[in-house]
Amino acid sequence: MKFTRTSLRGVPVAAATALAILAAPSAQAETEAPINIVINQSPWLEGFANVVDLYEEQTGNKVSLDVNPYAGSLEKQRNAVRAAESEYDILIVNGIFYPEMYQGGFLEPLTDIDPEFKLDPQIYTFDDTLWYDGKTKTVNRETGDLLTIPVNPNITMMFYRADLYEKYGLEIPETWDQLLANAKVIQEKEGIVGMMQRAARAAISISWDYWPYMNSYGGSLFRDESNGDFFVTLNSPESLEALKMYLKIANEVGPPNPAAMDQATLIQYLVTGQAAHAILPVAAQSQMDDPNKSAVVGKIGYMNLPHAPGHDSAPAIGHWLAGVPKNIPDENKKAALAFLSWFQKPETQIAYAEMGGSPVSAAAYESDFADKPENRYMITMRKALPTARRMWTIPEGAEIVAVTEVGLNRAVAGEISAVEALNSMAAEIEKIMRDAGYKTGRLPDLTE
Amino acid sequence: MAMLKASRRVKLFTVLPALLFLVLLSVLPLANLLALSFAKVTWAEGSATWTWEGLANYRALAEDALFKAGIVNTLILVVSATTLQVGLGLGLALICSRLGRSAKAYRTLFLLPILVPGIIIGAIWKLMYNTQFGVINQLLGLVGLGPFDWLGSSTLALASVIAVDVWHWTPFSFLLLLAAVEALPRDVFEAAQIDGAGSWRTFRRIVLPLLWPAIFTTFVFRAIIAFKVFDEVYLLTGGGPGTSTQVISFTIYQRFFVQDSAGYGAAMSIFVMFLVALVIGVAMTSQKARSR
Repeated sequence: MKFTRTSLRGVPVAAATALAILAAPSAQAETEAPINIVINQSPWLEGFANVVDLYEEQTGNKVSLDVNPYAGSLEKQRNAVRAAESEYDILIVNGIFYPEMYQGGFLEPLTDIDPEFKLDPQIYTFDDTLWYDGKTKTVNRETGDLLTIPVNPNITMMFYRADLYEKYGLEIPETWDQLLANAKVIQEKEGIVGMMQRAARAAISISWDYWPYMNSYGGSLFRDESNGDFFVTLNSPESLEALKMYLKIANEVGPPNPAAMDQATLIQYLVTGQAAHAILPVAAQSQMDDPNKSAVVGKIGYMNLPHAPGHDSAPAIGHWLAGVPKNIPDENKKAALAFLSWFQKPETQIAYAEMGGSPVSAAAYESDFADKPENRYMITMRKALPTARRMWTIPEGAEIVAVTEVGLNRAVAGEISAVEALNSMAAEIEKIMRDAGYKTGRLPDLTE
Repeated sequence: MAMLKASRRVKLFTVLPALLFLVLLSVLPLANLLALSFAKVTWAEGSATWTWEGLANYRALAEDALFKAGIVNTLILVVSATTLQVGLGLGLALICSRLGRSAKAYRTLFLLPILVPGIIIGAIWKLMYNTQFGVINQLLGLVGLGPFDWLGSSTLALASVIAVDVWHWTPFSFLLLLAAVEALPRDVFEAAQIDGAGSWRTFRRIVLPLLWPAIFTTFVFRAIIAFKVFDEVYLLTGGGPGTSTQVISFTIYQRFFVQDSAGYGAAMSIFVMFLVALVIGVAMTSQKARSR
């Protein structure tokens, strides 16, 4: 595998066990055209790079990874699909921005490349976000085309200090209030931060962190998006309760200046033993038990996200999807699909997990590998995945997230109240939707 | 007469390539940006559609909280950072001009920050500002102060970014003003010395008036560059917390690129260019009036 603009340090570790499992004759002759994948820098990149190495080893085909920061990767993808010919053969698209790729008509339906292609039945379909119906402009498994294959299952989980839970006899919390109480106990007794939240502004940060709160209080962005009802309900009493709880946790058991906390800082606090809880994407687990990076090896446990009484846990989907651009030569499309077909196989998915990746197939989560103590996150994932919910499925997502990132962050920073934040965000989102031609509206303003 | 006409033609012919370059590299892109500012761009079936929006993009600016925060913070940054940079640059230039042989070494030293790429400056200062292990908090800790969350606190973040900007760009002012200081006529100072003028009086009555055009030009140049500040904010704070360090370039970046609202981003860009041109125009006019 060739890296361009790589920021990875060191050579990806070849997983000997995985190679043994997939002991195909090594260094086969190249049968497909070389492909170029554009991908973002992330905690799960190393695992993905390892599985790409394995593909090259087994098939002899060549794959290059163009690794970029999050926003840079998105910009490169937009430029590539809007050019006469894309320089990338596979786009690794984020679960927030994929609708614009779908709606823009930039991705080739996978069965148009090979009519025989079928999605492996064990691959998770993440609220059916792999299919898109261009006529009705909706995510729809029944009537839509299969446009992507998931490559990473990023949903959020609660990372917590299992050793401190045992020390103080704490029970796994079901509700946010119980979580707050546990965080207070640990904060008082240990002098560490009770709970870290990803409240900083970024391309997508605090929105993804807040969404599970909102969902688990019964709030929503739109009244009924699945059925085409885009009436804005972000400023509902349920959303307000959720935001108040988010702020309460930030202010009572969070770090100083919680509005500046990004994902890297959350991980830093956890691995240095300075935080009791943090909501993080599953991919961050790879750093928790790494003795070179962590002072809390073996001490971190994983649990489903809490919820409000009477509601279900509802982590937000922030998965990554691999799609093939329309504007590349046919032989490259074929080569890209060959890689994706190989990637979705159950045995590849198990190898992907063994090499530090985050698999997207039930085959991996239900394998013996998942039951090993060091892979304890997989047990939590198994329970959490079916409850995960998508944030939105419309191409205006990029505009919406720009609004929610600022509004929510301003509330955490204390610039505006929770009510002002929700009212102003709802008004801005209503305008975005109206300008885009949707039939919309919004709830009456909340009052203080 | 014929000779004069021919000469004019030759002149026109010789500047034509330069004019063409100007049109190609400046006028056309700006015209394209201007046209885009009246449109909305949507993508479907792999191709773009421009829809005429009239002044809607410009009207939307008035309701954009991020735009307003960007303008306010940028003005604060431009005024405070530029004033400090010109003041410090002038001070360093005056000191350097009196150092004799060792001036060269100091000049090189003072210029170092401007040679450092923005991305490295971001890394250096992010580490120095770190609440837990940053050298600034460690030093303050020695005298019982802090730790402070320089980049995470709404009240400190903008000042922290301004401090980095001052560190980065003071050498620019220093360089321009040093050239001006070294070009000052020596005989005026000798005459002042003979007349018994002290250092402060010489500075106020001779140095400052003589240097004023250079100080003004430096201020305007620096202000224009400061208006475009982006990398320091992008790398250090991302505009937050809240909107405390949101600057206008960063707002344009978010609207134009991340949010992919090309028409609206273009309108914002045109408005900002107009604003900068206006400020420069007012400054130049007042300077001309002052010189008269």
